[in-house]
Amino acid sequence: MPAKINTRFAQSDAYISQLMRDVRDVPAQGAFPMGRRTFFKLAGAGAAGLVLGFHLPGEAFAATAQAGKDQAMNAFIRIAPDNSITIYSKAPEIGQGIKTSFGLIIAEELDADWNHVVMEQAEINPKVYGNQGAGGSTSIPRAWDQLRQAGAGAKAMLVAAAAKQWKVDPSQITARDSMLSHPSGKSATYGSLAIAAANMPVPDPKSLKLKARSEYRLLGRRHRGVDDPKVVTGQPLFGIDVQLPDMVYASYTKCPAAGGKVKSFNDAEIRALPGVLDCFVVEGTGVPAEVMPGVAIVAKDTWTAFQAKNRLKVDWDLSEASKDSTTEFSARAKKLAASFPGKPVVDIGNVDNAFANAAKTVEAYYEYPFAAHAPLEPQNTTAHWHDGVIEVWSPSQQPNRGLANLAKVTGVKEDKVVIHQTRVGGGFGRRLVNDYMCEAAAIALKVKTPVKLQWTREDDFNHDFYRPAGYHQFKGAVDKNGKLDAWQEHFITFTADGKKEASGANLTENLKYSTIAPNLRRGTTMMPLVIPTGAWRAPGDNAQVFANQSFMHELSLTAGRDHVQFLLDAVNTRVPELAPKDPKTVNFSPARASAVIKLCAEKAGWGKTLPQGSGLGLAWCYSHAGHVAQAVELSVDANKRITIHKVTVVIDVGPIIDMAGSEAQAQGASTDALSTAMGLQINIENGRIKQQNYNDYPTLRMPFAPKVIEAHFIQSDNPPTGMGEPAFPAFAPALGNAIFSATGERVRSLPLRNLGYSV
Amino acid sequence: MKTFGIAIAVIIVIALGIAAWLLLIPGPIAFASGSTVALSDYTGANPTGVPKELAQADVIKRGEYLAHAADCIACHTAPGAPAYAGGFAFNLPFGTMYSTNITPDKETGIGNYTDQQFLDALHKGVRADGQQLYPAMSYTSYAYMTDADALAIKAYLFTLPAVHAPARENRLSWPFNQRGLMAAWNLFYKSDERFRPNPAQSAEWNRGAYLAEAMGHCGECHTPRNLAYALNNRSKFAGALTAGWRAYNISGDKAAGLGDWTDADLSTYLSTGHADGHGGSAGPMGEATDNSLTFLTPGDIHALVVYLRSVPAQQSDLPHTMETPAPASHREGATAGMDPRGEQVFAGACAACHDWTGVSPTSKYATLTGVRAVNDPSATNVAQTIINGVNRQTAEGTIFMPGFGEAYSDDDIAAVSNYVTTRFGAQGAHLTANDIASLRKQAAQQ
Amino acid sequence: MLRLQINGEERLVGDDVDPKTPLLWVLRDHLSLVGSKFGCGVAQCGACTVHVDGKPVRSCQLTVGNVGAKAVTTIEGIGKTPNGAKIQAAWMEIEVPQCGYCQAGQIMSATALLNSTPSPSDSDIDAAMAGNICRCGTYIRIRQAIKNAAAKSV
Repeated sequence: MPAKINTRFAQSDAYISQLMRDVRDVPAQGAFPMGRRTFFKLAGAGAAGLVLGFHLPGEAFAATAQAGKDQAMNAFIRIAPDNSITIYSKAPEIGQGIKTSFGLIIAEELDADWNHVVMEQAEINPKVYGNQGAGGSTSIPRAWDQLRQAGAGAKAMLVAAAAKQWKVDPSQITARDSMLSHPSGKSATYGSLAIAAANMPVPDPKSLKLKARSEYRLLGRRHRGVDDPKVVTGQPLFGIDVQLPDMVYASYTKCPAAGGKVKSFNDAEIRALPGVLDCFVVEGTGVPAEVMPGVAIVAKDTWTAFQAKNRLKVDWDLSEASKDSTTEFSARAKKLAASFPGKPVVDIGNVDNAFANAAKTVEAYYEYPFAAHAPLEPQNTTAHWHDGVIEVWSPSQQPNRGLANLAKVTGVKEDKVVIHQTRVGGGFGRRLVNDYMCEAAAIALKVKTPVKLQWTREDDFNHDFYRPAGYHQFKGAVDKNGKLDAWQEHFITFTADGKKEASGANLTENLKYSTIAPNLRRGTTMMPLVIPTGAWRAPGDNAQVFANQSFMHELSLTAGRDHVQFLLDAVNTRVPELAPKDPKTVNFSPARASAVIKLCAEKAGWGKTLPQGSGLGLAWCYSHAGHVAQAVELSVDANKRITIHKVTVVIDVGPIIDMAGSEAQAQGASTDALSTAMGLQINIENGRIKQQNYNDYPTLRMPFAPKVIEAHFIQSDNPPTGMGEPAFPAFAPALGNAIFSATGERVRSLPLRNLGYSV
Repeated sequence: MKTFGIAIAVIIVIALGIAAWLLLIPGPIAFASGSTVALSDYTGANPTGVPKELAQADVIKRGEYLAHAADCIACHTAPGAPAYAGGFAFNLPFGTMYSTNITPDKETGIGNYTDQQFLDALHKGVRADGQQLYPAMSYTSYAYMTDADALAIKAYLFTLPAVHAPARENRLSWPFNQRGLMAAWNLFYKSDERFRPNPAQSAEWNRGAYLAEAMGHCGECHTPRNLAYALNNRSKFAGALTAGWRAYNISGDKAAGLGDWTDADLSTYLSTGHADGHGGSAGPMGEATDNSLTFLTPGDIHALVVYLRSVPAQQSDLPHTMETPAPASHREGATAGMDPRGEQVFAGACAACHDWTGVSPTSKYATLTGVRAVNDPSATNVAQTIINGVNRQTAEGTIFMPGFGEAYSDDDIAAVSNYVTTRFGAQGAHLTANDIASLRKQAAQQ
Repeated sequence: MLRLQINGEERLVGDDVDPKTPLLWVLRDHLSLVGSKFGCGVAQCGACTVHVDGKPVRSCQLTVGNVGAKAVTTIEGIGKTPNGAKIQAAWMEIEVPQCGYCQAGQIMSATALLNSTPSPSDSDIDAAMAGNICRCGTYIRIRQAIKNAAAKSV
């Protein structure tokens, strides 16, 4: 029984899809064309020293003037007379290490003394900072030029000030560790020059000479996370840690089946509970990405709000609620898989012909489940409605979008929205959507004081924007030379609006480059879905690469070829239709792909003899502008218990900013990918999510985590791209391929625990 | 020919003997010395009705107390569904039965029941339409209830919101789907006789007997059943497996039963579902505690204790509970040489609250040391608790343990059940994945 | 009025706080000690771990009424203990945290491990740390940091 299309859900899905496209379009050559932006010095620079930011020509000047001094405190760099340097990170820190990396990029070009740099979170103001989101591994590529120019621009002004004071040629002045010096022996700290520098003309960004890689002192080395001292001592950092005077606490309860509306609830009983201050229905906008209907309970503390929530009895109107069922989806997809759709989305060469003349063909069906993000910090936001302003403190991945979200939800203009970005206790794509932020604001409208909305873990599992399940029917052919000749893929997926794939449910562009076949046909069949979906770490790739790269292994085995050679042949096949059309947004490179595959094979000991029951698997992907190959060496015992001996990750994301952070991402993404492949799934029945907490959702724990993960980076002069996502997708197929090598059993569905495997 | 005749006679006598043994089972309170009399002939304090605290209360209040005492809600409420609306599944060897709606809904509940029809259902197991109920409805126990008490319960039930909830179709195999067969069963096992006090016993004992037999129907879970699935009072309270959970021996046996419990422990356990050194109730007993026993007055709890104390010891093969905590280090103790899977699951999901010693640093309810279930080498209740978790509402707040049935495999649950019983109990279990699958099925609510 | 011993100081909790409130929420909402984190509420993630009389305890399951006079140490106070300080330093030295949300709990569990087992093996680490989920997957570095801390003499 196909679900009805809910227009508000479709609207929400369109918003999320657009958001995902926004965060995904990675400029190929650095961030923004030089010269499009210009610097500005900010008001109040005199007392504070040199404060430097950017603006978009036109409206930004107005923004600067309006916001006055407060904003001035929040541009990229502030150099105080005492030589203390504060650098503002414009993007959310979600664990990807961006606050450290952004600081390093600026400090590198500024030649600042890193040991005396203080990193602060910038206010949310896209007019000054441009995009302030964190997602799609785009923070680094988007900001690379902008931040380097900020650092180099400030340095140029300091140098100009010194040259003027010392009456020397600026080119003879050298900068190091927040200090300028001249061969004559003259030297001065940045702090002592800060006020003079602030009065120097602002340089044209195009005139700035940025450092070559060989000149880096900070970039590429290992650094400590700038917030580490606070993290390890438990200082307030995260959204959940916000405390304001007179703050009250709220819980919010939405229908367990998405789309249900409140008919009534036991208002009098809840209101009478000790410590409960108020309870009311929030109608919301009916858009999952904003505010769905529910019951808010405001109480004197979080526990009271939670206890009252437990006592809450809501009579739901389920007429428009989801009745989705994952068992039904799986069964239907399997049936649908058999008939390839009439209109392929990609049709290159002549697939039918290739199959007819193939040396060998092979077919297989792959599937993987829905997945929740389950970041460890449950969703929360503190909101304060005062003086016609909605002010929030929120752990969002997409705060700049929050401005428009909150304006819509509260009915004020965007300039009456103030968002304070907090550190984020895990993102994984979940917090690209600002639903919890909007809910807090909607609740705050009815509360006189600041109110902290706190979700329970169960709320988080029930109201996620899930990674959609997917089902792939493959047919492939190899030619008489053992090369990939034809690839047919029927992808059964989901739609929210009945027209296009739901958010995160489309075949990703990246797949084209990892399965380059002269004859290629891809078709899609969509099943209507009400439950919202969204971006989950390496959207699309995170599971589609599992299916595709596992099937690639089936093909190389069918061909009787060495898998690495087979992959190298495939990535180097020239198929004009699959060549990147837009060099600005895509930078897939066969050479970079080949290099990571080769190095990974070498570092993993590809080809070595392994004991009985052991196996080595390898897979690769091009994802989020990164080229990554991963290898897993493991053994499997008679009880299907897997022991992972070594994981090898080889990555080309251009030059590395912070080696410690980049290795952490490689290790973390591999561990996350193992966790997801082994055990994670979301089941939905009658529109309700079965998994309610971590006891139902076995996130990997210490005893099961790999003990050896080697990360190797191929660094180059290509512009740097992000590390948050690329090291995730190729892990699962490498794992599956290794299991096949060890046992002869092909893994065609996830999670592995459903097949009896454990780690 | 003669010898043949004798042989036949002997066989017949033996067969009759077996049949009689099987069919003629002593009554639930026949174990006590002295003989019983009709309630009207009893001169002691009235063992039926409500306790003195409620003597002046109206019929609805009295009915509410008695409905709690009879624990109607336990079987007449499905998980997550409205109270008393039925739909609770009984998984029996011959199929699945569902309890019915006893809210006053006229169409699907008991809204049209007359007093007599209600009494017939409670006492005789006969529905309003004359059809015979299955004895999953414990009318053999409720038969002991006085008309006045039964009608007070009815009065209370009729104050509840009517819920429209049609009965779910039972799924019984032949011949058990033939309700008519119950008539034969009833011939032997239905007494339709009200409670008869025993003047040789104390007033408290008689009150306890009424509460345990006519109301709380303890024996329905704690007394083993015979081949005809009737309670075998020859082994009264010796413990039994019901719906995938083990109801333990609550006779006076020192090793396996309550013989070693102090009165104080027993009374605390009954009224709160926990006693130090004995652990807490979970599963069906947890529900019985929260839905029924916690509502009883201290006087009634004491009467139950007096009565339980008098039940003769019934031996069972359970070992004496291990009361010494396990070592603080996971490397030491009885589990040192075991398959690491159980230890790994325990480390991840259990150790934080239950500790490697079994003595919880967090909550006394989470202490495993001394708990009967942990000392049961079948690990039945340990496995069920792991699968289903615990969610009890007590005076001390919610006692909560998450269930792991959704995420953990049968292998994992078997391994950790074996680990827990080995490490913290007297004798380790040897459950397999198949055992867990079977336990899941027995307790399934669907 | 409850009198708690937290990080060596007496802290008073008013009568407006229900003694059934978990210690976690008293620390966070009433005593402004927000280092102990809420992650699951069902003792599965370990983010709320504190020490009670030196033992690691999930503060989301321990009611404040049951704490009594026992000494509570939180992430805010663990640095004053020798092993706590070593663990914190080791965490920073090899850049353990990613999002950092679980790390307070990880540090509390790791410190308790070193207190009872000064030179933990891999299996000791597995047993002591298995109750703490890190969604970012920093396990490999947590293991290394514990070993590094153990290798440093007090």
